[in-house]
Amino acid sequence: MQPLLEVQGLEVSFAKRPVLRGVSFTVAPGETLGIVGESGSGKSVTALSIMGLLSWPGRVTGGRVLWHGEDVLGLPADARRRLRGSAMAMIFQEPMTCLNPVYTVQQQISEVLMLHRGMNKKEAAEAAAEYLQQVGIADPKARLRNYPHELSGGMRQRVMIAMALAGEPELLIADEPTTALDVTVQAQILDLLKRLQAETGMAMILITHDLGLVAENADRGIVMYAGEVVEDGKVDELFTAPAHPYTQGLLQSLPRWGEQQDMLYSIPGTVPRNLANITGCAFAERCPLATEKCSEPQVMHSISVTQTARCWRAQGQGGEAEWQRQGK
Amino acid sequence: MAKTGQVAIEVKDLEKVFPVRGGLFSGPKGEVRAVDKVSFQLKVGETLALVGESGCGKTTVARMLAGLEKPTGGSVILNGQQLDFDAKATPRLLQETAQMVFQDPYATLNPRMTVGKSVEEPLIVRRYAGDRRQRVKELFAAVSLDQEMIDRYPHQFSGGQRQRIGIARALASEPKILLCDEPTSALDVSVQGQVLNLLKELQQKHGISYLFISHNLSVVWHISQQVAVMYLGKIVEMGSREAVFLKTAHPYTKALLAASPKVAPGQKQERIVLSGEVPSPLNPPSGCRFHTRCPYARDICREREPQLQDLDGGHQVACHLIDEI
Repeated sequence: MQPLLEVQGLEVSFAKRPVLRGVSFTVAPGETLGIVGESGSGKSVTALSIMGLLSWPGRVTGGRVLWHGEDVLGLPADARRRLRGSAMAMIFQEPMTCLNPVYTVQQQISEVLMLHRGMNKKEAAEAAAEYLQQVGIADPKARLRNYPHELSGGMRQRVMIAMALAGEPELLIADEPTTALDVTVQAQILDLLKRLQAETGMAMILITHDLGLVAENADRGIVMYAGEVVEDGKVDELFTAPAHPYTQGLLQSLPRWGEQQDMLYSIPGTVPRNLANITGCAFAERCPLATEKCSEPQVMHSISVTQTARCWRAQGQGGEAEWQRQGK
Repeated sequence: MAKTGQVAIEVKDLEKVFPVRGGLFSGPKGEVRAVDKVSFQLKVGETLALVGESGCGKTTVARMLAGLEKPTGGSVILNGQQLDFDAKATPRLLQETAQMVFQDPYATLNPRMTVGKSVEEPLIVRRYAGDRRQRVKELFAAVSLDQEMIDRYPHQFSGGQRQRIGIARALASEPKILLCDEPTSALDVSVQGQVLNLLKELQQKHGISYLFISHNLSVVWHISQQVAVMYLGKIVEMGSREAVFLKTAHPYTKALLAASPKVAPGQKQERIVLSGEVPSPLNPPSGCRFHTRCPYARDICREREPQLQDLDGGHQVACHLIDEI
């Protein structure tokens, strides 16, 4: 089956500083892909590049983003704008960065419907109420007249999701959608996203720093570090048999309730700030297993049919990953 | 030095009411009971965690104990003596006993002051007699920061390092109690462990007590011995961490535990998803404050407010339906 989205060797620089250094992954139709990584690892930049929302001084300097097999990076601006909102939509951590404070909820949802679905004003108003109902907002007719500041955090998040859904996207990119919310509201929003996904069959990219959210909500996950994908696999594989030392370290450093741990593991050192001069493994300086071999460039190695890791130690079973052989 | 097991600080029926003003002449419009009759004991060398969602009053409790906010009712007992909230010396007395560690250390460090100067300030305030710079170096060593770094500015540090500077500054006053308000929420997972380990080490070495505020239940489990769960200004469940986490009695605690994401794929448990959001504290629900979101609520929950009752060995719960669910 052809993937819905295929990112191949995506490279992004801010001014002359590299931020993404060859990011590759795929998203199948209807699938949920989790992207985890610490701050500065390039999760959000990846999402913005796919959406075509990268702004100056950020610039795509290499690689391809294939949507249904067609490269969208070279498309003219108005063609990308048509894709955005109807084919792919994005929701953000802080809904106020996405909602316009001087327009009512109705005006903002209607805009999507009129622009992408060709509805007239009256049809759009009715459909907007339906979308609010769908995202679990009580009394949608009254809420349509509200301005964003009149709504609570969880409600704003729902309005933003309603706006994203209004374009009937095939792919929804959710960038830390629940980080600003309380845990009980977070659970509501994630349940809502899951239900909507089951109803519409859309695929989802869930970007988060919370490993638990990926474990509970995604089918597959990729782990990013210093602008690269270091591990890619099914959620069960990533969390029960992580192959990259960074993934292993992250999992070890989590406190888990119910278990007795005296001291927590923590990865020594910090994330590298300048990625320009990295030639070998970016994690080597913090890796407890690092050897001389780590200063050479690392490629993704297959651990199983579905799991790959960017570490020569993982080489044992599968050799270089399938897509890399094809790419050569 | 006080011995482990003794009470470091005790609060009884602590209350904080904020007046709400509004309208044309900013007249009084109502009041918010941010903290409503909260009682607990914090023992020497122990950690008590306050858990709850935003607006439940956990930070207000900490700010009152830090002397930053004046309680409007109840009592605070320090060294066997009840504090007089109106006395001028009380905030100072509290500040000598308890110091706060904040969530975002970058926001609480002066960007134009070297971090060494920031850590030195409390020493100046309390007229430290010895060599202040030497003491700052000792404090840096205590939080495992390189002493060479004391003349640098906050922006030159990573998040985890800044949080250690925040802890060093709090320790400068040699407090008996640290009030930690979400100290690791702004940190990445890989450095969160460093800060939690440091807090544990300091506690073992110096016998400091922690009031630890967090919404991350895994972190709470890791660091604390006692846990109190708050909802809309009230404690709804309190006890040892084993009692609260493993013999959970209150429906709200159950929902919180169920909603916090766990890294254990495959064993996805049935979760109680609460409907709605936390009601406005301006107009809290009648009876049990949780009844609007509680899946088990009955008539009695709407009418009568449940009191904290002892289950066993200090495990307290405020719920009418405790025998049924």
